[in-house]
Amino acid sequence: MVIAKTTEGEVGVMPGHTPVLALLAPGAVVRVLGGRENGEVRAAVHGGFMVVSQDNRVSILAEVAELAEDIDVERAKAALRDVESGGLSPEDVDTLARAARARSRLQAVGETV
Amino acid sequence: MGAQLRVYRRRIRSTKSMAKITRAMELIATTRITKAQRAVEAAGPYAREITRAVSALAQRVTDHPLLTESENPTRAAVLVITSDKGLAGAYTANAIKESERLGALLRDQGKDVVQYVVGRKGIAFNQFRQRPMERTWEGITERPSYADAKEIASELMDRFTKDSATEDGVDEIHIVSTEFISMLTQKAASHRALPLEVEEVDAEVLEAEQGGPLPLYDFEPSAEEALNQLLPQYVTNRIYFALLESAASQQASRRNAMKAATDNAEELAKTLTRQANQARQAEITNEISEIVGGADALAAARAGSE
Repeated sequence: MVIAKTTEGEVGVMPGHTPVLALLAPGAVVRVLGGRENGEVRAAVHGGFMVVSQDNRVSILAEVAELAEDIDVERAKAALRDVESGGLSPEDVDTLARAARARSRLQAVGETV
Repeated sequence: MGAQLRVYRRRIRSTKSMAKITRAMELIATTRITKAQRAVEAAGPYAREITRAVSALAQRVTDHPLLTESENPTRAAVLVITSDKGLAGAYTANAIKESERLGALLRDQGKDVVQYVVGRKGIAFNQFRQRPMERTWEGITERPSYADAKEIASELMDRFTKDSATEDGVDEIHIVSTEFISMLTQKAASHRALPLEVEEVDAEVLEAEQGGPLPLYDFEPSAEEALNQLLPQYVTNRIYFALLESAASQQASRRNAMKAATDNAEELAKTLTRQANQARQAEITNEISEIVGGADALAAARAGSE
């Protein structure tokens, strides 16, 4: 099963799902249950979309994506602290995007944010 | 040693050292092609998927501003990808020739052409002829990154979304890049990135390329919304792919040029060695005949006096 957060909310895709093309929410975490030895693959995905095809194939396409094991936790924490200390304003799109990226990285490695 | 022989020896030495340099460049280019090719292959799946998704969307949404052709196109942007460094054979020349051809075609259709140039060589070409360039990028052709492609794409998309009549925008975006066909063949080609070209493809070809006809997707949140977000990514990807493929072509072209240069230098060194040998032999023959002549003269003089 693939669990991802789209702009419409969290979705879980089971085998045999109808074909869907969905935009992922900014700073989303994608989880693939049943993959790898530890039973789960997690990735932080920024600005992308998910395609579910007929033949039980799910493609996640993003401009930036990182697997949980490749994420530098300290760096993401520092980035988040950095952004939050500067104060968030709703107009500042770049800063908000940075915060979302840092948050999704931390969520992907299992930290609570 | 005679003067002629000395000149030959000097030329042989310089030819041989040149051959060494070109051989080294050939080897460097060879290793870089593999790297560049790997980058192209790594970008393949993403490019395929995004093309698939965009074509699925384009079937559904027909009246999107980024898809419809302007009724009366007046201006077209052309992105030309050339090299930063020379010694790559006809690589840059071919890309420029293709862009000239495309430019002439667009002007024939009554459109103004605005040029965007990647690579120092292309910039120098246009500067020398005092042709206007909207924006140029240097130093990214050998190892293009996604960020570079994104910068170029956002610049072009900005221009495209503006109205061509009132805000100095463009109606079309064309990309001139060099396709990597094989290690020996690279071909400069132009494609229209926007508005999307509707291609008539055989069902069989489609199946071979994309693995079957496109399923009827559900779109979340809506097809229009999805297309709005996907199209800029698609254009970025097209540019990124063009940059990667051009980088591979550039290295392959450089390798071929350097191989030819090395072969020629070796051939020249061989010819020069022969000529030098001949000159040396001529000198020796000359010396011998001088000695023999002198000895003969002495012998004749001695015979006369006795």
